[in-house]
Amino acid sequence: MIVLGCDVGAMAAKIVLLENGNLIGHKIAAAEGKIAEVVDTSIDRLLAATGIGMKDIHECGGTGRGEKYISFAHTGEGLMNCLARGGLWAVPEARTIVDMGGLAGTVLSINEKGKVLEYRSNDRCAAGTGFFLELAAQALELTVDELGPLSRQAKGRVQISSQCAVFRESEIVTHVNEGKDVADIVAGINHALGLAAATMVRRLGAKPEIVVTGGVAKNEGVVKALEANVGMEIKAAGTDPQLIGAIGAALGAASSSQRRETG
Amino acid sequence: MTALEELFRVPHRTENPYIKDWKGNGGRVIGFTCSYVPEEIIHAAGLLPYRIEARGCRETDLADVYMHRFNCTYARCILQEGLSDRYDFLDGMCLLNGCEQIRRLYEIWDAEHKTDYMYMVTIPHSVYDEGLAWYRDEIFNFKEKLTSDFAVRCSKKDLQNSIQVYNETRRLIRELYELRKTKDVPISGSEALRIVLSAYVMPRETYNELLKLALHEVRSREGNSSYKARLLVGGSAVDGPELFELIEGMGGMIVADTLCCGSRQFDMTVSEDADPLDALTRAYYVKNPCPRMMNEYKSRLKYTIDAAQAASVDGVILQKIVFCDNHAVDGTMLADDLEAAGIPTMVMERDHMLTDTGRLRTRVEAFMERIAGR
Repeated sequence: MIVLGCDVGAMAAKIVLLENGNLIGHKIAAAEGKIAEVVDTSIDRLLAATGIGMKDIHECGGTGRGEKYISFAHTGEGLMNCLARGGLWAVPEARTIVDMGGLAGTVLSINEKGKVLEYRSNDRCAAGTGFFLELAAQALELTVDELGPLSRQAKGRVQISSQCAVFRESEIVTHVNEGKDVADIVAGINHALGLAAATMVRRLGAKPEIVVTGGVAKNEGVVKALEANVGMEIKAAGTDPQLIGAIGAALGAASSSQRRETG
Repeated sequence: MTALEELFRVPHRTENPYIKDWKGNGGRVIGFTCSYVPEEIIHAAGLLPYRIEARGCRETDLADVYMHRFNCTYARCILQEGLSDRYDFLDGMCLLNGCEQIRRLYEIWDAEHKTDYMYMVTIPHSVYDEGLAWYRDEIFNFKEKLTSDFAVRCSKKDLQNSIQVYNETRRLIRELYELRKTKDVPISGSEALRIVLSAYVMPRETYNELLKLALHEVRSREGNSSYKARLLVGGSAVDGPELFELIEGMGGMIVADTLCCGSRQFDMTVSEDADPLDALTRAYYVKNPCPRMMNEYKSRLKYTIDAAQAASVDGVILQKIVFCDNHAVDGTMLADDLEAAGIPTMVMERDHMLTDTGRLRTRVEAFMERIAGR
């Protein structure tokens, strides 16, 4: 059975194809401009690349803040449930999911069945999100993808401690103007984000295994800072962590289809 | 090291030799915060009052678990230091309902069992006769609980002695402030602030002796008149010299303040003739008020204008910590009324952790350009 999952987030649309629970294709596109068109085009390209036709798809699942932009028929579900299900798919022992997305950071406590027991979110503040990483990268004239590897070259770490993403951006500009090493500034940025996520994990109470998801989880510096501050090992998702929500949506659609068919 | 150099040091709480000596000799330390906690009570009970601060705090990850990031960074930094075991030398803690942030800090500190003895003194939000009686009861209850829990004495004579010691500090600090009113200023604002902050971190008798010697040194210093503008700083609590250093680094000379840890704490005298509890209650209750006192705006405005004129300032900087509601509301009103009174005023938002320095420097620089050489 082939299912399609679509997670339309604040900064990116993530689309996956699963066949019998295995990931067989994916596509990530920036959620800019007319998002409904971005989603449609991305799906067309993914299908073309994998040689799968729309008629082969048994079920579709959609989630994310931009779920309403998914134009085709699908089963919609909240992002928390999708992250929980996707996290468990990636790491069966996962009990804590740390999702670091473009618009919000969320920490979920889940049980062995993927049920969300409790969660904490920082959705009122951009300072701990992927959006802030974009701002930071722009201020340093880098791409977001460069921030993780660059922090490996840091000899020290500058302090980034403003409470607001906008003030943080001006803090970064101050460091640049003072001639601080860019790698050290990047290390400070990654540390600040890891610390914000660690705070939410502590607030909820960390239960192993901890899995990080979302676009920010691709930044090794942030994940290392999170790991150091939580004092527990962070399990790698084993697949692109940004896809976990979409995978959860696809799995949700698959199981609701099975439920329908088995009556 | 001269007395002045010693008072410039303001040792960090984890390396404070005075605390080490005091504790080494079996002494006990009571932390407090808010200028409405009468330190004399703690002092008269033979305990060392230590005004809680968060100097050196750079991250609030532990505190953020309990207090959201839209609580003020001052309260969160104090909590962070407590949760990081950097206040383990405290034997007790007395906070006051000065603002909601500190009240919340009390609850978390208590829940986390960071200090065995916890007490909250409350004070009404406006000044009136029944409020005075309430506050007196509160101070009396605090004294009773403190003396019974620590099994110490706090007699009328002890209180009278403490009032004298603290009045002496206030007199000496007022002298220090007087010296800054001249055109050739013998001591910078950040240096003066260091001296003032030192009062809260060492035994008061030692401090008074050091300050007497230090004042001689200040008087013999050559004055500095090569500044761009004379400034008064008001607003949220300032517990370290960095902000003043930043402002003075841009060519300003801070010659006065209306801070709770600065002039407002020392610009008063407790009567040495009246009943000591009555005298303490009255002096603390009606002193130059914090913005948390709701009906006292006019007296705050007058106090600020008087202080600005007495020190011949060119401008006023009202700095407030982000999410400090008391100073946000008051600062906005003060800025308008000070401008109307012909005193240029700048409102500056900042975090307790002073890292966003580029933005602040730009703002101070622009303000200085506006007011310099008027």
